[in-house]
Amino acid sequence: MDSAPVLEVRNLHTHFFLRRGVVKAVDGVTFSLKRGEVLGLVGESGCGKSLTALSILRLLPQEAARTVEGQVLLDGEDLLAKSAGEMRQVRGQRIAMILQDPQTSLNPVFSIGNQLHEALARRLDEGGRSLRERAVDVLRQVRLAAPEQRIGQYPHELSGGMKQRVVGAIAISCAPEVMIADEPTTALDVTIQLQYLDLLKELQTSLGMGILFITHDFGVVAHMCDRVAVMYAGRIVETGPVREIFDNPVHPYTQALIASVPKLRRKAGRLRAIDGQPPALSDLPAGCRFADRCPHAEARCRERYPKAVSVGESHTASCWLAA
Amino acid sequence: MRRLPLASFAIIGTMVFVAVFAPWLTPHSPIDQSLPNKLLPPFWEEGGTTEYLLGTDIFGRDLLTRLFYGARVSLIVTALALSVGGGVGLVLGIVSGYVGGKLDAFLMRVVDAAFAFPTILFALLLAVTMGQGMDTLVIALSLFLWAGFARVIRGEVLAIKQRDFVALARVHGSSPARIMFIHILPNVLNTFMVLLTLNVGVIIVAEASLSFLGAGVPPPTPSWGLMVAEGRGKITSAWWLSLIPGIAITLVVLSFNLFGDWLRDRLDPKLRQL
Amino acid sequence: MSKDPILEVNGLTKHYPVAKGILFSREVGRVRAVDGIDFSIAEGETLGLVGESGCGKTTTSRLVLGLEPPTAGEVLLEGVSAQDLTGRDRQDYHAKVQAVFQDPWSSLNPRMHVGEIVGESLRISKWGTRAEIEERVAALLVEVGLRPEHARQYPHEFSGGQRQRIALASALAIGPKLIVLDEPVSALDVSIRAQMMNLLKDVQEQDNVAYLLVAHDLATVRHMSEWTAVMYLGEIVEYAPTELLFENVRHPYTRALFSAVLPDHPDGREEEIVLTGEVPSPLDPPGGCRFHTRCPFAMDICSQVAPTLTESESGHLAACHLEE
Repeated sequence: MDSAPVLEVRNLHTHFFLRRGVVKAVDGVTFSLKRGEVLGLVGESGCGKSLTALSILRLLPQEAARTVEGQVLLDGEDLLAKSAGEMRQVRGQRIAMILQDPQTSLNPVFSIGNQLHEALARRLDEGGRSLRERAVDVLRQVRLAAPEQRIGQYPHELSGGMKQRVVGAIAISCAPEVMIADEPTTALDVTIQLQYLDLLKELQTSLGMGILFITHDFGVVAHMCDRVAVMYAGRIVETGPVREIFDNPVHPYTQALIASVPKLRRKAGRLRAIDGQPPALSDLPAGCRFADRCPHAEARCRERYPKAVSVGESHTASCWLAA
Repeated sequence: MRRLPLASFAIIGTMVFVAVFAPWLTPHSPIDQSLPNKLLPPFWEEGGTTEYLLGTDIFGRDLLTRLFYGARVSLIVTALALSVGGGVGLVLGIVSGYVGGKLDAFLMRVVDAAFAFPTILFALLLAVTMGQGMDTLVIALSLFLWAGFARVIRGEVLAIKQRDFVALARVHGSSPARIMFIHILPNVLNTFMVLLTLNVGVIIVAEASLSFLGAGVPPPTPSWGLMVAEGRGKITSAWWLSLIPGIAITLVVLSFNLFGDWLRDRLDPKLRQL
Repeated sequence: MSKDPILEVNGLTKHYPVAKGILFSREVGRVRAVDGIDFSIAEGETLGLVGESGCGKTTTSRLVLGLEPPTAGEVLLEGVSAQDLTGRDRQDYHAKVQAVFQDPWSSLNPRMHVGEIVGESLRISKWGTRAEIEERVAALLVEVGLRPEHARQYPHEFSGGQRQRIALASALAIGPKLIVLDEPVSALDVSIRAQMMNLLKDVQEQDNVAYLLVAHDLATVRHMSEWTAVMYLGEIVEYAPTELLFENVRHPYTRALFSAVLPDHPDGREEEIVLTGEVPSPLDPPGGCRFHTRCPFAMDICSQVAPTLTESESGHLAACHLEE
């Protein structure tokens, strides 16, 4: 897939300004997402992956958080330069989002149909169909059984998997160019998770969206993604095509993450654990942020942050050892 | 995060200070009458003197002195009513929430009944049967207070009960009493503290209302509510008699409410992190 | 099994009545959370209990811990029933079985410091003097990879991984024979999970404690346990030594669970049994085999007769008509 990027994030910095100091939660993130591509943004909690997504949509959680630098280009237009009104047009119409918890993503006091109507009404239908017909249609697209009955029901009458399908239906109702999925299957059971991931892939192919898939699970990455960006302590440490990342991980953090997951098909005696914990984002070291936990760390790793270098075809890593 | 309400803090501090040190702060007696000096206006009005800064009442007693001693009465009544009513509410709330089942259903119906009860009527009844006095006042106010405490604390306990550390305490072999008072109690103390401060205002107003109606502290003991009541007949000629204690009540109640709001934010760990 | 079982669970059943009506409530049904299961765990061994949410695995763990009374059946810990214990006997039971729960943010009392949390079971059982307890707490903190001086800090000062270590130290304090691990790593970050799993294995080796591991992740179960039991809608559908089960899956539901595991490589996709639909409500489970509504191999008999657990190879039990 070698089309132009639909979403480009350049050198994005989002910081929290707290009384006890500045927390650099997103600290220079750059990546691009092509049309019809699934990009996995992988990292642990607190690495800044969800905040990156919220910065793209300009939905920062608190007054204390601000995007201080960078560009977010959607089809070449900088979203950070748009007015609040223009931004509302972008959200939900051109960029849609699916969050982790289907429980809190739907409003409990409105029926499924009502919540879909609200999303659908923002866009005129070419065929002149009624909102209800379109709602049934979009529920059929997300493979919800018996959509005619479902639109009259309320969120509490649906299971978690069904609710997440409704969230998906709302997200695709305006045929967005980009979908941001923030751990959409973490709250679902394993058998339901697989169904849902397959559904997302199918929707992506039929609608031609680019999906930014935020996850901590390399299994999800292997199943879903075309390319991967691995994030650690506010920065992307490695980017590449999914096979490259699995077969030939360059950054020690990526290597360690893949190795530390127990395998279903092989019994390992002892897992290769990563010692220690990520650094505090309010007190980041000058050098590589993984240096304290890295088995290969050298003196230069602690002194200067390594630049991203190309280590293969469209595969880059920020590590002194790769340079 | 909201800043410490300094003005409220100062007003509350002043009230406590004058209540504790009243006898040393003023040369006058709050009770002894001095008819020649009756109905003197505050010092800034015509005819006022600096000896009686806020003027005198119909018996010639210094209004400022009576305000100081009245603060005493208010604080003692508030402290007693809060310890009794709040304490009972705290314990019943924890037990009701933790034990649950039939006991909980019963206690909560009693709480509903207590809310439906006309407090003022009941206090008047008590005053008639037991006689006016501080003990009557404290009993009436405690009976009014405990239900609110019990209901809020119970709700809090219901949420805490779901947390894993309570299940783990049972796995460790803790008795129900130990779980309620070693594990759960410290987790509701924040809420309890906030309830206490927010109820100080309620109690001061209630005490003043009851004293105003004649079911509170008997004269000649000074109480702010009683002072408002005594002055209301002369509101056109000697406005200070009612208005000054009224202002005192308003300021103190407002201060305690602001302080309670601040404390609630302060003690909420989620808000504190910001 | 060569070793004697520490824990025996026989015909364990837990039903929750569902009541309706405001003035006069009457029972309209029962949620069959756990419906007649048997298993046992030997000294120093681990049994992994796998299944999707609502299959009854967490209820089972609560019954074993004595947090709820069973509707029928029994839990025997070294031959002693968990039910109707009072006073000293109840403390003795709780001295033998402890627990580590999933969420380290909810399992530590935020108002107690770490030393109090870890030493709680020692204080309840009057294990020793204050100084002795402090010494034991310090030793436990070292055993789980923390420092003795952490005893004076409060839980909020620790990360998720460290909190889970504190929870483990607290479970180990009294020297239990069995620890119930309810999803002990699933709330932790990926880079921390391996640390915790290694620690759990080290502790087991050192203290010879048995684990009942409740988990949804098959890879974790394979890594941790000697025996595996698969639960579906309150019943055990397959029960075998882990290696046998992972090499030769017998029950279609277990096979579906395996198919749902995401690959560990982009090319690692295997043949699939993709289940359609969702787990039926335990309020009104299907008759016959409870899995027949979702089973791709269901036959006529499956909707009529409930299959029983039958043994194929040594110790490999499965409840399925296809196997008969």
